[in-house]
Amino acid sequence: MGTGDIFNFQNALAEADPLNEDFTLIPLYKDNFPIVHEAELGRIVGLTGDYHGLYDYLEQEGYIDENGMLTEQFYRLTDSIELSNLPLDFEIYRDDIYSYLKDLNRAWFDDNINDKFKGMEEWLNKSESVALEILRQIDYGNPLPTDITAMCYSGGGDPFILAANTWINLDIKSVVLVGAPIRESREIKNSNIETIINIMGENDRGRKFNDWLRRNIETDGWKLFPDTSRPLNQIAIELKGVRHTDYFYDPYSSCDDPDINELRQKATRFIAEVTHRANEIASLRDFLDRNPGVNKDDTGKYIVDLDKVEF
Amino acid sequence: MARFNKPKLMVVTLVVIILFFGISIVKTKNPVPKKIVTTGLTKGQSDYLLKQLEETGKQYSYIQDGQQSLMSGDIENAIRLFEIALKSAYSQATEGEAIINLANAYEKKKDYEKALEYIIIDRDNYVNEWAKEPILQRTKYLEYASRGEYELAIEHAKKAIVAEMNIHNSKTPRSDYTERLNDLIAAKDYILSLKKSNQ
Repeated sequence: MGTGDIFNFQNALAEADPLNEDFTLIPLYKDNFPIVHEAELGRIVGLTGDYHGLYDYLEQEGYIDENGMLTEQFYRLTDSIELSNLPLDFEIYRDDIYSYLKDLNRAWFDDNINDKFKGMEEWLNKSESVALEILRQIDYGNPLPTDITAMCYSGGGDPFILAANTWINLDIKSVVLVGAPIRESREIKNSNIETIINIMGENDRGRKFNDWLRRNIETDGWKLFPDTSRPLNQIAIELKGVRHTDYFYDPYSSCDDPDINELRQKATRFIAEVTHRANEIASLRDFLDRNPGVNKDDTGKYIVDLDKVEF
Repeated sequence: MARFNKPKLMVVTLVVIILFFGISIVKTKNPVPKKIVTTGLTKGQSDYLLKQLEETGKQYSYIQDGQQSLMSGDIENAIRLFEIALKSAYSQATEGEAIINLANAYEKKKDYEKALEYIIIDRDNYVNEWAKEPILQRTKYLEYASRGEYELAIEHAKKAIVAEMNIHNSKTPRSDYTERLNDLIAAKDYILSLKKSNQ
């Protein structure tokens, strides 16, 4: 199963590129989030109404981007009353506008995601014993390893937490989630877990999943588990300019753009440095507090400019 | 009709799971036992991450060992390890990390002047502007402590705790900050008891 200091299943994983649609549980890399089409706004204001104006309003207020794609700003809305600066002419349509956008999003999720989530849920229910069996089989002998740091990327994050929750004696001290969507119902039940570090790319469209699944996440320092009843260190780190595919460099599948390769190399190295310190929260803070590329916003989230980080 | 063979089905399911996520465990070469589990990476990503973990882990292992020594009371060994960490630092952040740990070790040793030297280096060269307030308070309390003015030192040590909590939006004080405050209080009580016994 492994030689020397490294135990891995990666040889079996050669075909399991997470960017390969056939193997990815959630297509985070896809660029097909719900899009508002200008003409369809005529359903709200009437075909003779000012649907151009309504489209412009949505774009100006940042609810859709220049391509009409729903934005984070939209995902933050919880009620029609929160539609900001709505022109007087559209005031009577306030609820309709909100409902239209929400329905558009819901329909998109039904078409694109829910089946996969259902499949995942069903699969997850079966996966516990198998995932744990994989960990048991790793040749560490007895006693089991202690103070494990888990670094989970993308669709590997939520199932790992599920496995850790199920095998509560598994001594995982910290979990570093990188671009990982977490199910709405997921809690941390493994009492050994002291720290959750949530690393997300500024341009990772997968962030929308956590906006949707873990509502109001951004109002509480981007903590993935704000309602946890027990002490849990939660650190959120945003990597500037990083997309879902940019967290890790793959020398066997590098990109044609040298800038993107460099960004991925820097991101990987930074994630490695964070992973080393994940078990010692004070050390991690000391490291981040002294890193010239690291800033902090009002919510407590670290903002990392990898171009300014010295490696 | 084909019948399902249970063990076969389990093996197939297991393979599917591995193909979906892949799980690897990396035992780093750090003397402190540590295991890192990764999920969701391709072979290439995993290989490159492992290389980065090995490269960055060596320097950090000196910090970890030094902290272990400090916790077990072997301050001289902690200082020696933090100095090695400083020499083998490869970036501003890792240098700063070694400097702050040296300050911690000298403060534990109650060599407040030496601790102050390192804290000033940290304040002026390493800690980010947004994270500076606890270090500014620490500079003040070390100045007072090095002059034997423990009342004022304790006051600023308390302010350092609050400042540290504020910048990290934390509800609980950081344990090492609290420990340093308690050490100052103990030092003050010790001085007072000496004065009393002299009277």
